[in-house]
Amino acid sequence: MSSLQRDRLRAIISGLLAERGDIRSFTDTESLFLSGRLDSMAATNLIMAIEAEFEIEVGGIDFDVSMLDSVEEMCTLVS
Amino acid sequence: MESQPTALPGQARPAAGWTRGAIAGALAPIETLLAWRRAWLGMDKNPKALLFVQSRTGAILLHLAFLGILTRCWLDSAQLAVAAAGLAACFLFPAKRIQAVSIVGILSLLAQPFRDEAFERHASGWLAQAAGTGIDPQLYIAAIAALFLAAAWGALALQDRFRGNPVGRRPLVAQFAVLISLVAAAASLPLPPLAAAGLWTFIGVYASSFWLLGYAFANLKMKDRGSPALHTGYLRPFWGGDITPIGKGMAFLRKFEARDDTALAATRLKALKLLVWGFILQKMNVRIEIFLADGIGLPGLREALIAQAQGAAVEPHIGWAILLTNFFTKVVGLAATGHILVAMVRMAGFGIPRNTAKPFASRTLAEFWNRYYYYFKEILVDFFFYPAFTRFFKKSPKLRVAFATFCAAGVGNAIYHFMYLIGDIPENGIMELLYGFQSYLIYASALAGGIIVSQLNSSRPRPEDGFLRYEVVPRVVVTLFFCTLMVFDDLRPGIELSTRFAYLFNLIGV
Repeated sequence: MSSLQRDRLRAIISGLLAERGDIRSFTDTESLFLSGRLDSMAATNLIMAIEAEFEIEVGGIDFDVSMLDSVEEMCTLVS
Repeated sequence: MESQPTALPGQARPAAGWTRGAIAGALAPIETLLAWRRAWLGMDKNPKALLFVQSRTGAILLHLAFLGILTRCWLDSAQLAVAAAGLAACFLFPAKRIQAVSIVGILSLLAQPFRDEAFERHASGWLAQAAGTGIDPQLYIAAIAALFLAAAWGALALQDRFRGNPVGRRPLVAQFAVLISLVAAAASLPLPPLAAAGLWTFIGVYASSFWLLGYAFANLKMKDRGSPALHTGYLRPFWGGDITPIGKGMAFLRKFEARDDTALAATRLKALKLLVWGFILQKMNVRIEIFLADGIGLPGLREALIAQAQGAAVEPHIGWAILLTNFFTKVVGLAATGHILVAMVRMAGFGIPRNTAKPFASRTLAEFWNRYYYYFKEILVDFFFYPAFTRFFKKSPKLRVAFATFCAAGVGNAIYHFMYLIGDIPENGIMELLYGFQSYLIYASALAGGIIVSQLNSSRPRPEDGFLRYEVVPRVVVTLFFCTLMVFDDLRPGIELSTRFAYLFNLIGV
């Protein structure tokens, strides 16, 4: 994944956090869903944004939201 | 001579005869209380408190205080004994707490095979039918529970080995297929009493651990998955609760495990705070319920519905009061129980999120749904929402969200609640239970509809909308929606749908 794509991913997450009144910074390895900073509704928005941005299909039978829990995990999923 | 106090600009002038000193004196106890409150709430960040709790004496005292309060939280003696054993094991073997929870979990399942009171009640009835066989009923139930553990371990081991297999890839579907087959066999086969009692007991134990087993299967698909034997001990963790898995499965707990001594001390202090808050809410809720019933004679919702059926409808304002108080006490009661259970998990060293977190602050239906019963919502999201969302209507975002939400809040919600009724099948028959369940089907459908609209609504309340439209109106709408829905929030048969609709129309004077 290019640094541009990673930045784009971080921007999407920042937007979702800001919508929930959370303006704290986050690292690439920090938990976003299991820590409670993002909820399941944010996950749906994130999945749709990732699918649109990276032209991939997220999900399938083995999908688990922990696959999207941090920026690193999202990068693994996307690449 | 005493001078008259002078009010500063913007301050209220003190009442005549009151001096600043007198006012300060009157406020002193309140300020002291507030200072104590701040110290209490901040103790998990207080370096001295954290150091003390890390000492052996501090940790022992903290555990004793915790157990002391737990004994006042209306847990039965078996629950208390299992909880004490679990906390002691996690205290003595902090580096092995994952294994400790699993071992105590096995004992927990053998000691308390059912998570639902209905199953407890029915088990004695089933066993009474098998009386005269000379078998000790408690031993018989424990033996069935052990059989369930062995079967669950076998199923988990098979899934771990053959997870690429079609059944292994869809464990939840397989779980439902097994449950339905067992219920169909127990309800239709002419079994001798002892075998029938055994089969229904097995179904009761299975239904009680159904969702935890679902999480164990899901966890076994992960990279760092743990052994099937370890997961078997997570089918009835020592903190108990009903069929909703507080703390989900082992993988979720691992994510929140305290990594060092300071984090463990902070997690334990948070546990104590939450337990005390849960205890206060529990006692307060009971007082409120007693006051409503005995103090002002307000009937319960079911009583009011029975009166409605008998042609004695309550006045609309009383009808609203019943709904509002019922809603309030239900949410507070749920919060209290959830806090006590989550506190036990935290005391064991897992800093998991609360089950209920400021539900009355919600401004949208979806937000309320997320805040008031987190681990129930997680079941629906994990097992119904995501599977639907990641497979269907990918080209149409709105339809995709709407369908997945309907699968979770509608279908999943109804299935989850119908599982509470399985124990009633031998007595009432499945058709009668399904007939009585139609009220809950309306509840689940309306809830799903409300949440879909809430999720798709792009105009969310914003601070710039003003105090009334941001702070007040959205919360009133959320409260009224869930209050109104409570008319249908009932699993038990006995009240016709027409009565429920009549109650609803009576609220608006129709």
